[in-house]
Amino acid sequence: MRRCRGFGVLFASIVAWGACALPARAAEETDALFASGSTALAEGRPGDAIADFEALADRGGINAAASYDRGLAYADRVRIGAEQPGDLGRAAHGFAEAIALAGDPLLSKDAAKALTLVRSEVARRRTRTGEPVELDQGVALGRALVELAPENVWAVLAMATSVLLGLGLFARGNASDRRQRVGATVVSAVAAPLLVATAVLTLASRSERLHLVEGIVVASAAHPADDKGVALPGASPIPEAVRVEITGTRPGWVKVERGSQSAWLPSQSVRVLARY
Amino acid sequence: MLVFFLPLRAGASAPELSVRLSADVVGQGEDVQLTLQAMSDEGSPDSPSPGNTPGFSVTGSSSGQQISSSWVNGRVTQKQGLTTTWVLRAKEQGTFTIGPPSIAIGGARFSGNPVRISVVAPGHAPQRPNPFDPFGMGLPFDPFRNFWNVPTPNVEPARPPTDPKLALDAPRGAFVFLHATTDKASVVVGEQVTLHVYLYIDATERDADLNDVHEATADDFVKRSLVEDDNSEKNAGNAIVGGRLYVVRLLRKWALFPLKAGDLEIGPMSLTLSRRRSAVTDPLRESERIFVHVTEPPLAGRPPGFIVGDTGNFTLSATTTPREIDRDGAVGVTVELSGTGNLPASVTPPARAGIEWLAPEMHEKVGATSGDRFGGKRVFSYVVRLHKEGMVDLGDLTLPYYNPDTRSYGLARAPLGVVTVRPGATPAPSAEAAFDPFAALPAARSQPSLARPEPRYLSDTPLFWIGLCATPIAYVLASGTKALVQRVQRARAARAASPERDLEARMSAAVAACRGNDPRAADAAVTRVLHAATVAKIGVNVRDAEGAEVSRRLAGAGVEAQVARQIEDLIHECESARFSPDAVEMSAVRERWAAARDVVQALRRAT
Repeated sequence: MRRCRGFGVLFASIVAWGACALPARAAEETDALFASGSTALAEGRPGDAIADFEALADRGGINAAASYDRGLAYADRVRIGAEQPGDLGRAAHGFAEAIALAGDPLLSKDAAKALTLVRSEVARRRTRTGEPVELDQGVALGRALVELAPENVWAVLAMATSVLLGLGLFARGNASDRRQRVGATVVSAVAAPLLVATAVLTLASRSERLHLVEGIVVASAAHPADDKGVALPGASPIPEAVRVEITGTRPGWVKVERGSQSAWLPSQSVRVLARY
Repeated sequence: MLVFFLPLRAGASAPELSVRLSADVVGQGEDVQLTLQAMSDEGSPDSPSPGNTPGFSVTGSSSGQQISSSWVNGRVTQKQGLTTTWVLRAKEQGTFTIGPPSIAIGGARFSGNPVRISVVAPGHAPQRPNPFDPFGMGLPFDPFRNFWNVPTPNVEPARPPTDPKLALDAPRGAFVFLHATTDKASVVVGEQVTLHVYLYIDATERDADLNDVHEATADDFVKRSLVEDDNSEKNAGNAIVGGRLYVVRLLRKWALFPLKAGDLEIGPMSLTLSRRRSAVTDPLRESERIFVHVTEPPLAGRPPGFIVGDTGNFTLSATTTPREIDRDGAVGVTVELSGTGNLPASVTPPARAGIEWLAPEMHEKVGATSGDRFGGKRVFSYVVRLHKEGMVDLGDLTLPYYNPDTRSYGLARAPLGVVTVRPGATPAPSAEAAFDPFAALPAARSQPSLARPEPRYLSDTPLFWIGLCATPIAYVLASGTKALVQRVQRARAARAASPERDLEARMSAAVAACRGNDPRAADAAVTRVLHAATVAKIGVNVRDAEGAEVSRRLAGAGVEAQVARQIEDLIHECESARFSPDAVEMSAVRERWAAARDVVQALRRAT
């Protein structure tokens, strides 16, 4: 019995040690990869920096600075003339991911500036080859409306209109004279549709937060295909570095929406933006 | 005949076991001898056992001891041996694994190798060599007429040796069939899977005429042939399948390298058998459809730069010439990538500022290596232009890979060395070359971002949605409750004022009064019941009517004359008794009350 208890204590100790040691080891590994990548980037070895930052991403490390530096490494490889196909798209992906993840406004601003430079270079190259330069087709009206304010702002507005509606209704029910009654009716009539609108916007914002998956095109030209994988006739390739919404997946393919266009692309040509 | 020789321990004291089977194909009901010979210098071997003998019965055994001595370099070594032979009789047809036979030496038990044997139909086993006729001459000149009692040689021609590895339990088709196997069922992405496709032809048949060949599909694999010419059949040997002898030919031998993770399918190879025989109803022959479970190499320990699919065992070497050039000149870098596995088709050169790697020229020599492994070497010849002066370090070429044999990652590395770049002619300024689209890129971050606190969202809590709906719902509930209460109150009030309600109340009062001892009060109660009944049932008030006016009003309202008369009489009797100076008996009052109830019932029926 005592022996069993001894084994139990030993087992519990091993489990506890494992629970503490493994995350610590993983953190050390990701820190080392970041440091190695930063050093390589600073020493003008973008290939090595890319390898380190990609290894960091493979391990699930989500960090705005790492995404930003990864974007810089890809851009640097283009800059020194050692460009690989898709480097501009991957650079744009790193910067877009950094914007989405950054809690630091300065990093977000730098990433936005770098993203603009990358997209400008893509547009410049497309101009030279006579292709359309319109990269960003914008988002749908509904999504633009939802993104006008953060989710919590919509939630607070909805709560406020709810309270306003309740007050108006009670005042209307208990009004003693006609003027009070009219005033309460007007308040209720305004607050009710506002409540519906803000509640819908809150729901849409929440749904976007939980379900929206976006990616960046990382192929120099991604050819849209139909459900059977056959290239869509007449459809022009989706340019590199363009942001698309991913609405479905199947082995080897992702379904994307860009503006009003919906099509399947090879999964290697789109890289998903990480989110917290 | 199979012989396995097994030294079980290293060094001089290792016991030596050999297992021998007198035949590898026997007919059903025939005997075969299994022999285990053990030699040891550690003790006397004893307690031999044949092990498992599925499909056979042990009909007898015999043992014999040996002692051998050797004198080497002045040292005498003595070994003791035991040779045991078991006689096994085949009970059923098929291919069986017998053994492993074992023996005890010095308290420990040692096992030899198991042996495989095929049992065919009686009389179909190949002829075994006659121990008295080592040359297979059949003793044609036996002057003593079978003096040695040697059995007459079987007239059936001898069968060729068969390979138990090719044996199958049952054929997959008549006369001819295809059979596909892989050496592994579970691999990582990029690891070699060797596919063999065999053609089995019944040995009693002539060559099959085959056409309409469709190759096995393996869309999720990189496919490399391990033989020089896929179109030439290779004889793989003979095999026993379902008790019959088949000639086996190797049609395909491919190294397949999976491209992705998942359960990947290797489709069947098919061909059509052209025969002019009515027995062949379905000429199509297909090999098996095989699924290979493919996973990605482990994430733990994965080196930076590893590309999933670079699986094998690789080495890199590189030479750079010349080592001294002028600025904007070029050097040649020859990179040799060799090893086994799916050799990567390209090697990413180290990207450095001022070093321009032009597209390489590639030569390869790949194919089957030892042990059916695919491999070889690829040589990449780069021209590298150097645009900066000084001692330029070209860096290292690296190729991380996953070695499936050791289940670990490796890194092939080849240093490219340093090139001395002398100042060259000043290049003409070029606007295009001067343009740097990324000159304005912001600075890199040297520290990881601080973990961003996860924001809390109001809409994630149910309380938010409850609160959102609370005030409108509270208003609706309050308004509804108020309206409901008012409605109930109105209904109650209306119900309390109705003639029916009044009649029920007065009847209850009359019942109570009739149970008491006050006849006058009881008569008054009965009178009130009658008044209330006329109002409730026919809507006629007779309170202020006297005498015949009561019956007249009631008759006017459609009441039967008899009933109207009864009501009038009862009212009159009650009034008379009530105001009579004489005492009235309660029994009389109760009789009037009973009559009054009958009248009320009559009025109810009438309405």
